[in-house]
Amino acid sequence: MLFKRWIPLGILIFVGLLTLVSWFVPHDPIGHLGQDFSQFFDILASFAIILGAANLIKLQGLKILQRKRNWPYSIVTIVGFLVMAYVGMNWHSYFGSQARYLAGTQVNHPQSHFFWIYWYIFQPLSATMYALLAFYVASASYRAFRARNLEATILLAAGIVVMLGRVPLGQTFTGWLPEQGFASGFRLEQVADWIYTYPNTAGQRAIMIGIALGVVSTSLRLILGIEKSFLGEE
Amino acid sequence: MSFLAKVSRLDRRWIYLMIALSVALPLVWPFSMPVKVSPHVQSVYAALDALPRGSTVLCSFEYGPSTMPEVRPMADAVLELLIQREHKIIVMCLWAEGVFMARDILDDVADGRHHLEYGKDYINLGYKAGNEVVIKSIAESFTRTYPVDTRGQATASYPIMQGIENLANIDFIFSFSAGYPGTVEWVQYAADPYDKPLSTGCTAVQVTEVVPYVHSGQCRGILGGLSGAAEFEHLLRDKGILPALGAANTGMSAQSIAHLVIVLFIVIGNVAFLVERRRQRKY
Repeated sequence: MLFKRWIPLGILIFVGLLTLVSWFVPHDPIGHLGQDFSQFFDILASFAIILGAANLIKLQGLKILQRKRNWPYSIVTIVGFLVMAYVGMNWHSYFGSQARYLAGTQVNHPQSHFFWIYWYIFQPLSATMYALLAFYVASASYRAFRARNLEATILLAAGIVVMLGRVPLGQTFTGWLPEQGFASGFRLEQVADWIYTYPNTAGQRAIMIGIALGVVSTSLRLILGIEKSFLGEE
Repeated sequence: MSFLAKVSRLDRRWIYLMIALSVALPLVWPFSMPVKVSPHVQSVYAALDALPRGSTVLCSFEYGPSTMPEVRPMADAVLELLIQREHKIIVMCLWAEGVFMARDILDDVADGRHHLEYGKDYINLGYKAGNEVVIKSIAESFTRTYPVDTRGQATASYPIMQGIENLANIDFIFSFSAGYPGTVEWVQYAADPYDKPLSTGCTAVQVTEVVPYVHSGQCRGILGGLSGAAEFEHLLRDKGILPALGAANTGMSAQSIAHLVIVLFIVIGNVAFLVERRRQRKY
């Protein structure tokens, strides 16, 4: 109970309170300790990669062993992972030149295998995946973007105005309206800007304030020891 | 089956074909259209223009290959402006992919076009894991956060880093962002707490979440998506900073046609839907 419950809880309360106080009292030693605790996150994040890698190998390995659906893709995943890990960690993984490079720079050097694989395999694949979105967005918009009720119609109209108002070709549709005065407010780019500025900002701020309140309340619950789900308790 | 019923059940491959043509043809035969520079883009230029020559600007790269066509043109134009104004450029990345994006553009603009001296005129600190914690960390110390740069040399040994202890010594922050961590984190953990001017160039989908910070004055303007980049290119060309329009304007003609085609499909789909619904109610 001591190691599973009270010590983790004590660390959380101590670190949480001190980090909070360091925001308001940025002087030593509290300010310095607050910064150091932030550094702990960096260290923990670095360790998390080991967990992530082990989890990836385990899940994909099980998929291959049990011949689950699309299991050949898991082989590609594991091979890709191992190859990138090898060329990323091997300090001598370079093309041709026998020049001596500093350890750790192999992930950034254009002559390295890591850089080559990244630039000529990962980069085009990633760009292709993203580019395919245009086709799915067009197809999905055609099928799902229907004026079924008032809310859907408002969303539809706002979407069309923003899509047209953000591109020069769309702006030409209302280009005949004057650039100054009352009528200029009906130009597509002006209406699109209005949508961004008022309804969107209002909605975004409401979401942001809601999230901030949620973060504050959850943090307080954690610091005060009320929320214990991170200890595996109900 | 009526014509409208057929239209509402149009095979998706026809849509794919139309989109492919609407994107590919303008890229093969680009055409130029008048671009109106929006106030947000003018604000970005005004903020950068107000910096005294030789200021130190921190550029953060938070995008990857998927969003490269959208963000790279604005990074190209912004770096061109910074270099012509003789600012010192410190590059860092909150995304692992950002290192490659930064390297690509620095090789092109700083090395290739302007033959700047690495370590004196600009430096690439690279990527560090930790997201917003990295921002908090550089607020304390650059050299502790990045003991070495992407070339494996001690960061403190470069002339550009002399006198640059932490964020307090930075005159301006520019975030090239495509998501988390990105512009929002820079506003929350650097620009606002340390009162540092910040501008951003981000993807179009990110504009909705960054715009509230622009209106509150916490972010000095925004280059939103490819259209923002195209507007910035026009502005810089008109000011004599860019000799010609760049990749954003070429891409803009393709994006214009693609947007128009998608809107046409939506309109056709809705007309078919409304007529069908009326017919069903009638019978």
